[in-house]
Amino acid sequence: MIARLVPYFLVAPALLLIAVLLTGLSSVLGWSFQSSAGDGAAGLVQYANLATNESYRHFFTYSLWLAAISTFVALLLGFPVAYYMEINASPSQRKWIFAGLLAMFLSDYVLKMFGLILILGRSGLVNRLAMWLGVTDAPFKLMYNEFGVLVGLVSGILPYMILSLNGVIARLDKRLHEAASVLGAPPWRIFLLITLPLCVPGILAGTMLSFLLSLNSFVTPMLLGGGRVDMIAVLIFDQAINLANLPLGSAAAGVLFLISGAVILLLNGLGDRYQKRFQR
Amino acid sequence: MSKSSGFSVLQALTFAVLLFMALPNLIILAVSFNPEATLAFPPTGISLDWYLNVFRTPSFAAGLQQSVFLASISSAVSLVFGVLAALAIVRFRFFGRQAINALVMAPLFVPEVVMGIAMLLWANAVTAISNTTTLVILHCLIVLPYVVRLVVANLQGIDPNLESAAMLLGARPMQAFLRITMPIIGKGLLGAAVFAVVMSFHNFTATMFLVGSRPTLPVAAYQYIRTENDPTVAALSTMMMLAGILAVYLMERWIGLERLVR
Repeated sequence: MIARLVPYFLVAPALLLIAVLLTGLSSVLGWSFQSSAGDGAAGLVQYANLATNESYRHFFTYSLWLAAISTFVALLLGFPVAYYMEINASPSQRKWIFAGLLAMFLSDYVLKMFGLILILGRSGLVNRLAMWLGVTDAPFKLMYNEFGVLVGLVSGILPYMILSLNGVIARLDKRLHEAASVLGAPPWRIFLLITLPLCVPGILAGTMLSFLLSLNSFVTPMLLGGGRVDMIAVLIFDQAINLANLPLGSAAAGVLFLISGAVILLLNGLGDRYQKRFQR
Repeated sequence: MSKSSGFSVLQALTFAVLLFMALPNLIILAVSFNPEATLAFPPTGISLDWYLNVFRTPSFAAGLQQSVFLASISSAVSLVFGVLAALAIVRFRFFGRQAINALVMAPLFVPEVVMGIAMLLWANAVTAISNTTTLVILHCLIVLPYVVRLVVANLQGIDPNLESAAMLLGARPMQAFLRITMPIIGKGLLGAAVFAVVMSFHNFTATMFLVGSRPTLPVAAYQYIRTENDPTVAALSTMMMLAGILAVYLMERWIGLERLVR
């Protein structure tokens, strides 16, 4: 009898930790039904506020838009890198690229954004170069706006995207390409009809990870957007910490949690259906 | 299209993207040696003043202390909790195993801001708890899923018959685990510990909700970037990059880099 309880004793400490998180999440839910004035329960007032107030709504639509664009750009930029490192690179080249990617994956996000400030700022690398070359007299405005945030988001998610793609690319069966090529298919057809479909699971995984990371990004809009670019995490932090409006912050967190969950379910579902179709 | 031209376009693209990813780090490295108090590039000379200034900046010293404290406590705690949970998940078949496995991985799916506000509200409700304790719990939650995943992968790689053989020869279960299994997964555990330390050390967004008056090192760097305009943070970044390279090297030796992302 006691022997059957052993696994439960083993997982108990970890579950205790998880229980703290679940308690916290349920208080987020609880707070989101309070009124901002602090005079008790107020039903869905906060959610209605988020849905009807134009400026709050913009935080959500704009974050989704920025996350979508940055994920798409990261996919376009990341695919060639993943393809090159798995197919064309020599083993030692591959190892170096891999170590470099991992170093970036593990490097500090705040400091990476600081590096981008040095590149995009008024007297940063790009503007210095442009003025030296005589392209422009006045410095370009490359940060504290949408462009700066997009560059920051793409740079932040690229390592995740590449590391999600290289797994599926490494497993590509080269004989399929050879067969198609022997049968006379041009390279672009081989890419579109063989390589790309086989990579879909990795593309979906990378897209999910990148989209969620961009959507939840806080450091990038604060440092490269100067706090002036509307992203959800900034709204939640402002409401919860700076304005001490916990009910509205909690409601926004609740909505973000739901959106993230929906994205995970949607992309996982797509992946499962795709796998089933091809595993007959 | 000839094969060689396709190859070189791909190669050029790859190196352009890799350069884009590495450029922020390279610029930081260059600016950190700038003798002037500006963040301009290119630097006008070479100086190590800003490196000394890192140590003279009180918020960095305090931040480093807080970050090291959080990272060591939370990775030690989550390593112990994680190894126990991983043992249950790999070695036992019990009711609710799948659900428990999913629960332990749950923090990975909670957005960081949501995690931050959740822990803030939890700490408000509990009242008699210090900020630092809440931060330790938060960091444990953040690293736990990674630790469990790495240790599970490690445990699945070894033959349970080895332990059975030891017990058949008279070892007690605890003895068999400590003398047989632990030495085999030891390196994997070290790797997981380094990974946990790195994840805890760099956590920013969720931590930001709870720091109060005792910022961690990334938060101190963030506050410095927003208010000051000299290369001290560049010097700090360079030192952290060196530490990061060391961490990658240790993980390559102890768990293998491929294991980390699969």
